[in-house]
Amino acid sequence: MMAMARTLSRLRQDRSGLAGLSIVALFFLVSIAVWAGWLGQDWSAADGARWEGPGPAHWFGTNVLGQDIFERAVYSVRTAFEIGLVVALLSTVLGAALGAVAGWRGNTWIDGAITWLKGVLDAIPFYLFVAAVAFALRGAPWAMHLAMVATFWTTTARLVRAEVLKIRSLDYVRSARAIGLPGAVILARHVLPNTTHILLVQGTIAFVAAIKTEVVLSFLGLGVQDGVSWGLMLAESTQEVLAGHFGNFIAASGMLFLLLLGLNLLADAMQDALDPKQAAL
Amino acid sequence: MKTQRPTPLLKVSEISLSYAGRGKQPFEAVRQVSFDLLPGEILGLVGESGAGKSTVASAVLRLQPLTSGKISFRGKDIASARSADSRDLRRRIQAVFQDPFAALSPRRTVRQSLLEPLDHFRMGNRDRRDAMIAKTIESVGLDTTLLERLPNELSGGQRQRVALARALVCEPDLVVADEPVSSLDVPTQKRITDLILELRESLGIAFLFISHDIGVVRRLADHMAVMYAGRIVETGPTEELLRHPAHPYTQALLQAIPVADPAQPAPRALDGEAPAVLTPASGCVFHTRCSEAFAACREREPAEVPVTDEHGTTSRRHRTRCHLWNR
Amino acid sequence: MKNPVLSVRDLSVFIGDQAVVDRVSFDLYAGEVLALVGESGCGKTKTAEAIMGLLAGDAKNRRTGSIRLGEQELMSMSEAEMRRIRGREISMVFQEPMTALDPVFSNGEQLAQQFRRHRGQSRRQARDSAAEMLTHVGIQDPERIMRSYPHQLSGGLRQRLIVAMAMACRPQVLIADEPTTALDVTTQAQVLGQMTKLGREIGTAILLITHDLGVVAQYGDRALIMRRGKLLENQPVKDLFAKPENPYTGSLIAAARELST
Repeated sequence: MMAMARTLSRLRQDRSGLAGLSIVALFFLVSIAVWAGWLGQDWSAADGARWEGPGPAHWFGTNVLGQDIFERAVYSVRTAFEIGLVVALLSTVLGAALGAVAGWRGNTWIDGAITWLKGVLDAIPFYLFVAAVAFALRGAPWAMHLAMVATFWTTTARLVRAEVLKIRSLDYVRSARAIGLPGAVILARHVLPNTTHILLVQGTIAFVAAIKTEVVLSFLGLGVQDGVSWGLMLAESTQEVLAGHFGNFIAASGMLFLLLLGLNLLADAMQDALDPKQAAL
Repeated sequence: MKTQRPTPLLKVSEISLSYAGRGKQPFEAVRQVSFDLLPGEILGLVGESGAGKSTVASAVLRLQPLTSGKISFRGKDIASARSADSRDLRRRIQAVFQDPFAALSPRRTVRQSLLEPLDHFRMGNRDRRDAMIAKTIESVGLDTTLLERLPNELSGGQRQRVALARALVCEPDLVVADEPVSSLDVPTQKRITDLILELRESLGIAFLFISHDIGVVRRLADHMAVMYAGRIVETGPTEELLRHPAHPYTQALLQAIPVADPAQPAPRALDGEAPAVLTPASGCVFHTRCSEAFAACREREPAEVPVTDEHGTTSRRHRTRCHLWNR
Repeated sequence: MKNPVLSVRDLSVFIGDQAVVDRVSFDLYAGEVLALVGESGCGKTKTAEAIMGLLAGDAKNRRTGSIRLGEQELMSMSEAEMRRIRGREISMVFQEPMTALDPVFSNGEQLAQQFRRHRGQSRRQARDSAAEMLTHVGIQDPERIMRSYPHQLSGGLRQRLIVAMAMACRPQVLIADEPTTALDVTTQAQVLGQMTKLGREIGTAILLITHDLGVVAQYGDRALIMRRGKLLENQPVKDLFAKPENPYTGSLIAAARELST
């Protein structure tokens, strides 16, 4: 608890981190509002003329079907958060679990197997792999999530493995083993809680990566299947930009840029604030 | 020749431990080590880094399997203990390690750290546990207000006291202490060693006290054993052994200690290095650095023999592995 | 009386408003071993860092007073000037020998490098000087040690290699900060014995920082006792143990005698 309070107070002193936090919080509130049905519900209603310019009725104009672009961009915030959270959570949990097992059983066959699997996944070009999985499972709305989780866990696992290898030999873990506590209990109680700084930072990085990847995959037609996302809007905009309609492009890329900027500022600040080497000050 | 001692609490018989090692050859960290420990006795296990002291501790704590030999606790082989027995054994043999900064789980309060073993060994009910914890923390000279603190809010000396309290709260018969004071300041060292003596007196706990510091062992231990390159080369009652070190290695070790008195002779360096891990020397482990080595020392490993003191009396308990004493 | 090599006057080091070193003054003479003694946190390492100019760069640390090396005032030197002093006129040996060596170079290359850089020797000359230096620190087979790499050496050999590197340019002052605390006693005797012998031979003054009064008694010529940033005592070692002026020194000696001997 004390450590938590100290981390927060250090975060508070970091201006750019605070700015990042505000941006992310704003987007998060929007996504909650969309999810709760207060915002962006008319994203699929074609209530305007096709390719209307920006105006008081449609802030960023309308698309080819006469749908309000701003409404669609706002609804996409929910899509982005949904994918980001699901992928960040699952890939971090998977990475932590496999990394912890590999580290705890360091230099045994099981460690070897996990390391081998990581090596294989890391060796495949990332977008090729994600695209292949998404393509193979075409139509399944969770294909993209699965593909991302399957690749994102490796970095977390590598870092957690190294940390667990280090913690495993510390005296408090030896003491726990000496009184005969089962390995699973020691891992859960004494080892994993001391890797949370890695998990938080890696979770944030996975969150950012997932949102970016979603945009790329949706742009390629391998991403969001039902609903709308910034990637789908950007894909639409390729036809329109040449014709001079910038609404989709500006709304989607602008929001994506703003959210990613906020997340990156926040991740940097978190990394500094959680760094145990600075904890003494 | 067997000594007429009461039944030992811990009996370590001819144990050897090997590590897999990098590559082909396994590395023997401990070879045919034997010693006894009586209830309430403090045995100091002394030697330099790499001598195998900590490996012996790991073996007694069952953190590492034996390659050969046997360890009995209260007459029972600890390797063959099954579940209920095993839990009881783990409660009766407790550990304190060297590094005060790693001794306690960083995100758990002192109370949580002390509760864990009670919980695991199902000792006492809720109210009794609080009382046990309070009593134990006071017995190591700490205030109960420290119970809600985290390790990083404690000094090194306080952490080692908490580590000791966590061992004591289990009401053990034996505490294996692996260099518990080596990372502390001299005044703190003195306070902790005083505390250990006091606890032995009041609770009758036996200690296997591992240290590279002969000064600390002299203050604490009734009996001591000197290790070199995985073997015990000399063992005996502390005062007697230090007054008449029999093995050339023990003599060299004692002569290398700088005495806090400028009038005393300067420390003598021991030439050379301890044998490299993968090339165990044939013959006596110490012959490569021993100034008194002769042919036999290079050829066969010396057996353990009793040491004769200056009056010509042979001590039953002071024994060494050296050909000089076996001619 | 000859002139001191290093003369420290009213040296204070502040962390924030707190003086962790408080108006410390002492002289260091050529060829002597001056022990700087105290418990952890007494300010002995900060004193060494202040002399080496290693506190600079951290705005939280402020130092006042005077540190003279011969005719030069170190306090007013720029970082660039200090870099020329460090390693050439004042060398340092730390507690942990591994961190001071570069794992990718062989021991011989690292040591020869010192002779090439500081003494401007040719490759061949530097190799010969390096081998000779190793025999000076009691290494019997310098060729084998020079071919190997730092991780292949034991702690004691590593520390002797560091001492050889620190002494390579025949510095006026060697600051050794707990050089043997991480080593075994038999190894400690080798390292300290060779280091002090070499210092006397080439006339380097050694400031030996330690918490071990046994080391002070056996290897020091004079001793400074520090506590909470203040210098309590400055005496020849013989007098220090015979009649300590400060009661704190007496209690330290008593504790050390009780735990050692």
